[in-house]
Amino acid sequence: MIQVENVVKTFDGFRALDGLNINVPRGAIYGLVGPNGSGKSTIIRHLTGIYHQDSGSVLIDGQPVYENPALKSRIAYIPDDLYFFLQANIKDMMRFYKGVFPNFDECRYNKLREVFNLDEKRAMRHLSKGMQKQAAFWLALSSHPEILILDEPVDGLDPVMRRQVWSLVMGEVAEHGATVLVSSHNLRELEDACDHVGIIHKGKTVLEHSLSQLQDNIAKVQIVYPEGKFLPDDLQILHESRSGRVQTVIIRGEIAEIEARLAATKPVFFDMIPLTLEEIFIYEMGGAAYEIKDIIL
Amino acid sequence: MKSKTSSFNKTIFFNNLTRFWPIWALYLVIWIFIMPVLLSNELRWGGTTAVYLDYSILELANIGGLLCAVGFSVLAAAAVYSYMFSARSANFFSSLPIRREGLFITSYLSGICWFLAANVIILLLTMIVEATFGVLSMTGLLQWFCIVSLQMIIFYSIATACAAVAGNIFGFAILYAALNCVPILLEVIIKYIGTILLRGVTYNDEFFTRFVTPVYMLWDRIETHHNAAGELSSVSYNGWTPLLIFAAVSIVLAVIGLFIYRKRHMETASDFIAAKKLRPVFKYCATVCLSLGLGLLFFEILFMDASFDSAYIPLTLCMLAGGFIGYFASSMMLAKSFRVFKKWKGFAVFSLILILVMVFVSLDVFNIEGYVPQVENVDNVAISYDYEEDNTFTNLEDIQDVIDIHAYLTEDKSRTVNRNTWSDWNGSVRLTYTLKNGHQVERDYLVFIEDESDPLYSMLDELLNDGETIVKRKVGDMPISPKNIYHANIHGYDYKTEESYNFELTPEEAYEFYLTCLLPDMQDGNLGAHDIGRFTVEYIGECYVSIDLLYLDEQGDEYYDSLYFTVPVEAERTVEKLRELDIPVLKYYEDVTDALTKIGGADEPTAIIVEKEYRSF
Repeated sequence: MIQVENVVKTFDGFRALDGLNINVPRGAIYGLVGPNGSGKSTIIRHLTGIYHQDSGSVLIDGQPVYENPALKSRIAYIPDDLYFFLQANIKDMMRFYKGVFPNFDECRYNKLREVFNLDEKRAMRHLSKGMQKQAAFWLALSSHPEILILDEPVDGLDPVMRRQVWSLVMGEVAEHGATVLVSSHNLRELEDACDHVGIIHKGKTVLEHSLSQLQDNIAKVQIVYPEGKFLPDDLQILHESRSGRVQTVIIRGEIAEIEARLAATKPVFFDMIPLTLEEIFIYEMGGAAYEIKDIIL
Repeated sequence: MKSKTSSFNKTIFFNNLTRFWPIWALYLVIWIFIMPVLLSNELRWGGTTAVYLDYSILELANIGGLLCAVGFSVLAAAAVYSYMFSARSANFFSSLPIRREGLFITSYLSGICWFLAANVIILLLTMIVEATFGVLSMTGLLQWFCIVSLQMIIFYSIATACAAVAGNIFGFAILYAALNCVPILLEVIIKYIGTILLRGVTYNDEFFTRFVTPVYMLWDRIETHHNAAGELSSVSYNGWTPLLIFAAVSIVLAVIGLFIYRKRHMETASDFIAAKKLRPVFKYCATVCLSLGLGLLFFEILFMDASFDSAYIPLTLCMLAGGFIGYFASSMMLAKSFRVFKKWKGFAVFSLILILVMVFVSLDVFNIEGYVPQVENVDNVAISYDYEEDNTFTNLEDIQDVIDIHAYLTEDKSRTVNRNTWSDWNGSVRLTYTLKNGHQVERDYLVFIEDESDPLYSMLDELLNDGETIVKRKVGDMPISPKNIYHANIHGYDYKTEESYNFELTPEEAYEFYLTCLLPDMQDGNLGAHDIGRFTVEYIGECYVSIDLLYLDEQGDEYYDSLYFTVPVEAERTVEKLRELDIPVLKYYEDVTDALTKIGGADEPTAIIVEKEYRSF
């Protein structure tokens, strides 16, 4: 559904996107992760028609997004830095959204009032950051979007509201077949919600898989070898650490294959431990020269 | 799938009104106050005629409308286009399902339409007021509506174009101010610099850049005509042509703004100039403007006495300093950083060009200082000495005489003095050539004339103090007759009694005085002559003759003119007449023979002398 192909974007000589490729299938919840300055917000702004790429293509349903109001009317976008009119309250913003988004559903807006429980008549600027975000969700979901693009969506929300919001997002996907692209640093939450993940670094895609494929393609192994025996050289080791005789190794590859391979080396002991998305991110980025540095102070 | 969204969005249109309504409300309130409310007060007092009402309304349209247009258009544009000036709002609006031209056009229309709606309300209210008092003048009101609305369109369109180029509110305001006044200011500065550097170059109020300065061209465009009783008989607005041309051009500017906006990158929101390709243009324009403006300011403060050849180096240094500030200040604004001094090459190139230009000007490569027209190219020339009346010559011989004086002044540079210095000068020569191709060339020289043996003295005296020339200069085509003389007097100040005196003459007395004394004395060259060098003529102190005329000119309009003399001792007939009239000052001096000073030699006292009249510079 969402296709980003070889997108390049330069700002005053700085190459923010360097041939980026992203593929978001229809109905997916795609988690876009990357270190700070990797280009997440930049590509999101391309997907919402704010920026125009220097080269490459940004397509949704095979059509370019830029200057395509028909396509943009199907997209709801919640940026990390929200904007509301200076004196507007939620009701004023609702009227604005209703006038601009053809699919805006006032009934849904009224139903969602029970979920968000915000004072509609209070000026937006008097709401806390978290409340403003809630208001943004309220308005976005009322627009019946086919595509939800969320940049740091739950940042500033309390734990209860975070769950509520994720529940609504997943409900939107389940009931209406919406496609969601969400960028976040909170990988623990993304892991629960996303079914696809893309990791970008320095404007390039490092890897992109469904979550299950990602988890199936990287293994964390704790292994103990007898004296004089070592791990096979041909394994794609992303990270290695040792605590006494116990080696903890992160290996890229199919889990079943890795298991069989290690078993064949007859270690004293080995165990396959599931990896979290956060760990996958850390170890993959280490491979992209973005590892945690041991700094001696 | 093609976009179904049109070039106009109703929600944005009304949203702009609800967000920024105080702007249009203030505009409406101000106009309601100065039009229907004040007019009704005036009409209530009575005595206001329809033509005077039209005059009031048109004056308000011209001056009030112009000021409101300049001020409110920039406020409205700053408001409706404010979304372009910050990253958050620019991103928000760009993510909406509206095409860029739809956003731009809707914002443009939302600004202008509410002003036009306000104008309609004011028009209707004023119609009601006028109708209530029985003086409804639709012509005046409709003219008001058209003038005020077109003025608003002009300045709002200019502001729109500026908003498309600028990336933040500061840049927008500077661009708007610059477009409206920098060209004419630059011309003023360049002309003034010309008077400092180049001998003879004059400063005049005819600006070429007025055609790109709407405020200048549209200011004071009301023409009034009065009847014989001095009452206002008709009023008209003579600015329709520039108004319509500026309206058309400004709309074109707004359309260009639309094209610039369509190409605009949203990541440039909050930059000083959003349109990247225009950034160098802004930088070098700022450099040139500040080089000229600040350069002149520094020069006037630090090197006030320098002029002509001695001014080139200090002025160049001052302009380099001004250019330095302009170049790096604009670079700082564009880069949003103070760290711009490493990129100095552009300033180096500018400096080189500036120095070259100044060298060329000093060598008169452009032939401005040394330019003297050829007699065959001149249709007529007016020469004025000491800023007195012009002497206009059309025959070739006289034109050649003027050219000879001009050539003399350009060849011998030591003869001319700069007005900005404290050097001595005792005369001025102003030349205005009208060439056969229709162009005009003006030159103005301050000169120092040593004495009567000075060649310049004899050239000027021969040309300008000939009797026929004096009569032509002082009287010209004035139809002097008793019926045209409406006032005449001899007046001055009596030092003994410390009182002013005034002798009124009837038109017939004045005419006789003119025919028998003033005219023959002029024809003899003894009255009305230029005091070349200001060291020859001695005047009767504190005694002035004035004859005021009122007549109809060729167009049938009333025309005021006057003859005015300070009487020199040589004007024998005039002096004799003054004695007959018992003018106080003459009475005193006749009695005190010891007080007579001598001219023309130790043994031959004059008949009358009082004091030298000193002129202040």
